[in-house]
Amino acid sequence: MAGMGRWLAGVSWPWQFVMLAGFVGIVFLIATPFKRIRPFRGQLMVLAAITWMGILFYLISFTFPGRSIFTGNMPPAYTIPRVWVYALIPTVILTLIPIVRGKNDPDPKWGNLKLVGIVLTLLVLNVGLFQYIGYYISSALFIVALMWLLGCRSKVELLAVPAGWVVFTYFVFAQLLNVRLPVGSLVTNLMGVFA
Amino acid sequence: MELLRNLFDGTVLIMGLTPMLMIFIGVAVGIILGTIPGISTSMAVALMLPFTFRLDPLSGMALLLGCYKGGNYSGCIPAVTINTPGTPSSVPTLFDGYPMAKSGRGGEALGILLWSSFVGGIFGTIVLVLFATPMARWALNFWSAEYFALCVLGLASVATLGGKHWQKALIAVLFGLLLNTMGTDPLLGSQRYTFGLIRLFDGFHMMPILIGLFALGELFHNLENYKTSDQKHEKHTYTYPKLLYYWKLKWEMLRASVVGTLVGILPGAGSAIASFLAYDLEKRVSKNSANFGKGAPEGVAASGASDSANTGGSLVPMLALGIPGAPTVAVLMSALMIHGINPGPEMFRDQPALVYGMFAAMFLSSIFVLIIGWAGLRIWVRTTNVKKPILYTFIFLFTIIGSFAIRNSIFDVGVCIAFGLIGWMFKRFGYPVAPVVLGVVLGRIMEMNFRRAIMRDGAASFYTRPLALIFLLLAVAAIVYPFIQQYRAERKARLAAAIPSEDEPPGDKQE
Repeated sequence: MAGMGRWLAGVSWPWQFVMLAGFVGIVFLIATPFKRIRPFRGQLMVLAAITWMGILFYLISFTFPGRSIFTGNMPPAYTIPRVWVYALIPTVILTLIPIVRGKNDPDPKWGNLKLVGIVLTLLVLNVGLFQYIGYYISSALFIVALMWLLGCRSKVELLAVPAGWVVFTYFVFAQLLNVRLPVGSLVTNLMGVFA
Repeated sequence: MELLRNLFDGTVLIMGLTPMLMIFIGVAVGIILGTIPGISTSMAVALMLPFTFRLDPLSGMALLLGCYKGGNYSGCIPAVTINTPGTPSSVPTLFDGYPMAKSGRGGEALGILLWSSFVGGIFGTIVLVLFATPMARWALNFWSAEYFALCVLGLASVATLGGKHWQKALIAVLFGLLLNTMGTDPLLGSQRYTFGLIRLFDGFHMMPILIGLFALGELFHNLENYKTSDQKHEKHTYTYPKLLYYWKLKWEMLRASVVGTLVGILPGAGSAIASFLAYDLEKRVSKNSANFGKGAPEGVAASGASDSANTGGSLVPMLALGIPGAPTVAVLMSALMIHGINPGPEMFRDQPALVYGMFAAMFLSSIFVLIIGWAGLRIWVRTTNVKKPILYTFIFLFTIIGSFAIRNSIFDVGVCIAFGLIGWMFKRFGYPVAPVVLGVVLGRIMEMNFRRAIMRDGAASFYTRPLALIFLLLAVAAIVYPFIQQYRAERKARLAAAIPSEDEPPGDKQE
């Protein structure tokens, strides 16, 4: 257990996600052939992800330091994570029962996933561009792109909303609330050139 | 006498320019956001959180409490005007509010909502003031074992009172609790589940999780069902009755306020249950019961008053015991914790000015709801039709800047987006997000108290201390109760299936 836990604790973040996705994928594949369980695959996948988290946390807890003469009778660091994992096991079983019996409400049909995907990409791009072109320019571009995507075609709104937001964030967040919004390396370099 | 003196001191504090301005802004923003379907009160309060970071604790709480009260009231407006409940608790308002609007009595319904919200708000706050102080005094005698047991009871009842999918709510609670174990061990200082990331040495910050789950998760869910075509609603005329008209509904408002406050005190019951209970009670006792569902003013008064009174009741366990019973209250509790204040009985002893200032802020918020609500009634009706592209864009922007502003960290924005996706998946597949937040908020307090109790008396501390034992037994009962309920429902269904209906002639059944 401790060896396995040590190995898992050393796995980097991206690989942790790959393992999680793998586990959830296996559950998805196992559930697919069963007609009775198929309508609940989404619920099962969420359950599988949380179960994986429980397994991971339980195994890694073996790498935490145990009792020593310095800690006296204080419960070690692994106590509470294990308590929650022990409570998770029966709860997962209890959640599984109505799913396996087909008594839960079936998963809702997927809606406009393409739109969610595009918006999510825009969102990640927007945040990723903060350090290059700065918060203000990146946000203004994000606003125009998102409003256009959501069906806004009014030129006045497409210009006024980003401009208003930039002014609002500058005065309220940067000036009043002292939030250090990223200016971006591009803007910093340009300012250096013109200085 | 001491209570009145403290309340007077709190009122003096809240009468300063900044706190008053914050209540005003909070109520106005709460009303505006609440009128927009798809924005829950907890989402509105979570979006306002970043603005409190640079404020003193009392002004910050005044802003959030104002937003809570304002959002709670205005969530019912779209139920009347466009037949769409702004919040789950405003569903009963729809039953009678919309028929009233359709028959040209929309102004009457909105006026009743406003006054019932005011009456409920004041009633709930009075109960809060009267209950919270003695409860906190009693809780001052709690030891670590009692605290841990109380938290277990709070979480168990939140999960199991949540509805028919109580197993999923329990899973959500445990997910929140597990998340909370990440970062430095609070007592021994060793690293847990950091995966080599320095950013995780302090664990996840509570705010990006809250904003992600409540705001982004909801938004992704709405986007999934988004249609670009304009939604056009029927237009109604609004004429507002004179003040004396509302006086006729005083008993309905008071009865519903009692129900709303009592249900609010129970952790996990929530304002939706309160609203339905109050509506049902009014339907049973009213002389006008035949008119319920067709446009009865009593129905609107009942749901409005109970919804608003619920806010006062739900703050009782949070302030007195440090147990948040509702999602919005969990956001309020996290706001206090960000300011370095731990809600609970010690707060009454160490920070009486803040506690009584908050009580005064609750009273003032109700008054501000009445004034701002009345002055802008015609405007709020229009905000229900705000354009979705602009609204959604602003919510995205506020979630990004809100999660960034906490520690000026892009990592926190990433965490917020990740929890937004988790919140969306949870919502999609019927796992409630509120218990996750409660688990995150209470996790550290539970761990500290559990380990302190074990260190002091070992596991015996949980069964040798009577109060801790009672709390734990109640928690077990809260978990077992849904089993019994489910078993009874299934048996009833089996019996109903076994007994042939009276209309059906015997022997007619075919396999």
